[in-house]
Amino acid sequence: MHSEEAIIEGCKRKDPLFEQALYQRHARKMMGVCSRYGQTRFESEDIFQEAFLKVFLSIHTYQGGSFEAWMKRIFVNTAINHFHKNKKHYHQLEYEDVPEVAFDHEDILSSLTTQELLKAINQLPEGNQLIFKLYVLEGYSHKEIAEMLGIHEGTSKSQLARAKAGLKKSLLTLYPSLYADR
Amino acid sequence: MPTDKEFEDILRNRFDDFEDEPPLEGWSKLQQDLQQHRFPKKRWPFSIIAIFLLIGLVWKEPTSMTQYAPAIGEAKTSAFSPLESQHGQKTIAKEAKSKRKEQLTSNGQLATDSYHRSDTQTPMLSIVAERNTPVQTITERKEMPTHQQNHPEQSLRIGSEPQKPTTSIETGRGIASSSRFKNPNKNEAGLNKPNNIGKEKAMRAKSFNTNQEDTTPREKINTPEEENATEKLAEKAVPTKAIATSKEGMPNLFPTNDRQSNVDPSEYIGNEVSPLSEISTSTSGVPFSGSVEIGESKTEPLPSKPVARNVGIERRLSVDKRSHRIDSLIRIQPVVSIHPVAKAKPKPDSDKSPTLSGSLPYTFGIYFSPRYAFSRFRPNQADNVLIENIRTEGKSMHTRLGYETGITCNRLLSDRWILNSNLVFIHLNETLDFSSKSTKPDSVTWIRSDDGSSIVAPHFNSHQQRYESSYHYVGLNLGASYSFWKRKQGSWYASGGGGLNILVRGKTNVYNNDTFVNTVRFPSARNPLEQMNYRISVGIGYAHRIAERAELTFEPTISYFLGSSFKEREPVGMKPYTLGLNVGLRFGR
Repeated sequence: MHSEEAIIEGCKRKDPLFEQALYQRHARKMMGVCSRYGQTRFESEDIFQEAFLKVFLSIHTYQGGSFEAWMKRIFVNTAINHFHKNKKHYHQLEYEDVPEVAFDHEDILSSLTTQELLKAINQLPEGNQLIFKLYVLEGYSHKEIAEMLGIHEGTSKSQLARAKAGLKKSLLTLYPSLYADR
Repeated sequence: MPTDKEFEDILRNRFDDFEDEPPLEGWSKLQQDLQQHRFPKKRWPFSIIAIFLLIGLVWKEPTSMTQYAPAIGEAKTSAFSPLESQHGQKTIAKEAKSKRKEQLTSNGQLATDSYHRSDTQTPMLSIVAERNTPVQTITERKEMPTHQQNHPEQSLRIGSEPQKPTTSIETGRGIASSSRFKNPNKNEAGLNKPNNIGKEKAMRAKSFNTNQEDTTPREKINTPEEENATEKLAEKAVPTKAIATSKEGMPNLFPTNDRQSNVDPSEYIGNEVSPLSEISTSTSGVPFSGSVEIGESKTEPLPSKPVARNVGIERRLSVDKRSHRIDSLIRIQPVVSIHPVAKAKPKPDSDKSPTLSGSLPYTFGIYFSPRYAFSRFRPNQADNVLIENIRTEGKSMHTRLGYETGITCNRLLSDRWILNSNLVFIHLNETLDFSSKSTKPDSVTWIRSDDGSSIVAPHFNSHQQRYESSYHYVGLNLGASYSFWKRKQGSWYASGGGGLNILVRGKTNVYNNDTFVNTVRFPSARNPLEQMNYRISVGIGYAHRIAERAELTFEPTISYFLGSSFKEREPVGMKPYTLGLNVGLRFGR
């Protein structure tokens, strides 16, 4: 069992054994990242394949720090590129126009599995969905999201608000039984 | 009630440890992609193509020109210079022998290519007699005395005493062996050679540029040594042909002998000149006397352009008939005999395309072609599946890249039309991704609203399907090609044809929602011919001549498979297009 540093060095030397070891160590986690952004399984696999290829081809640029975070950034960027390729259009909504909705579904969230949550999130409009994922799931700021997607920061905020409202509706639609007793 | 911030944290924490199953065979696909990026092995066909193209660009056809082997001219250059070394003449003789290619034809004449004259070579020696005295020209060769044969240079010694000419006794014969000049039409016994028997009488009947006809029988008495020497010469003797002797006023110089009968120069017309060695040796045996100067002089320039005929040069010395002496400066006037023997190789016209004349009616070849597959498909039968989101872009090159190779046999119908037949082996890869939905809802959502109404929302599950196929075909194709632009170095052509392909091995891996379902293998054991398909191909190619009977061909082609007879087991009818670049070698034309 090799350490991560040894594996990374082996990958830099283009050693197939170390590359396979790196793949086996991070494949599931990275596939989880891809599943968040892919609309379908096929798209998720595409993102996964393309992103991992980029990791191996550009591993010589890794200078240190959290390798997982470095990989994750590559995967997220690849997902965003796919988003642009698919020409997902979304309109801009002013943040002030989004009504405040109280979200009182903590118990519901805890009763749903991650897959079910993901399914609900994927029901969101595509533009809102991406920003929601980047902001909520990945923790990017609106400024960073705006730079990555090439939009205004205000657009990112408004899209996030709309995504939150939509998520509530999705949960209600997908899992009405959970709300029946409330 | 959690705030938005708390909600976000909850979700983020839920997804922090979220993992999902990676795709099946993900690592193997990733490995292939890596290899393709790092080691583009599959680019080798294109590298080979690039190399061939580069060769074609720098390849130059050798400039065809009439080749004339300098034989006489070169030998002459040094043969008669008085300043040559003692062994000059021997060397020259050897050179002349080595350069000429004698092949006695059935009639004793030289073969066609035996005498070629360099365009740049001109006789360096000319002997022109001052016509102080009437001369009688004898165009005959005389054998060189033995001692002169051994030391040919002595025969050209200035101021040498004239040699008493030997005579041969023969009646009614030619003068070939009279005196010291050898008649190449005569053997050593003075008898006419078989091919000249018919001319013998003509020889005696005519005079050769003389005012008098000399019909006296010629005599020759040879010493035993001379007999031996002449035998050797006789072996190499070739009939000579005189030419310009027919020209009036042309001084024809030959030492003559009183007892020599006249030689009819017309006998020699059309005959080829004896090799230089004979000339030199025989000429060296000329019994000169008095002031003889032999050296380079102006010569009559020979035709500069190569002519389609052999050129022989014969020297004749005009000798005072009465005195047998050369009274004055003698220069041998080269006389050019012209006779059609061999045609110079015509300079090929670069603008004209190579014709079929001389080429084989069939050509054979081999070729290789990488092929990239596209696809158009439709369901083979009506079903409840709604296909959507067809992924026409391949995940990676290798899933759609195959190859084709084969051997060809072509029949040349005309200069431009060729009938082609190919026995081919094809390997194709095809990956098809699409999502589909059933026309029937998989589930419904029933929502009760506050006002008591119910909302039913159908849900249609989307299925992701993927077919990964690999096919191996053997086929026979027929077609034709037409060369619409032809040059000596290559030609452009258009081709078209069709054929029948039989699937010898194939399989399709079926995935549903990225889950392996099964592998369909064909052909089945029950029906080995269950999958045959037909295809049509068109292409435009370039054939580059790399050798006399070899061509290198480059032909981008498009093939369309018309579908298969395999519909029962094939989920969808796939009709792929393939784009390929045929690179081949063709032999025989």
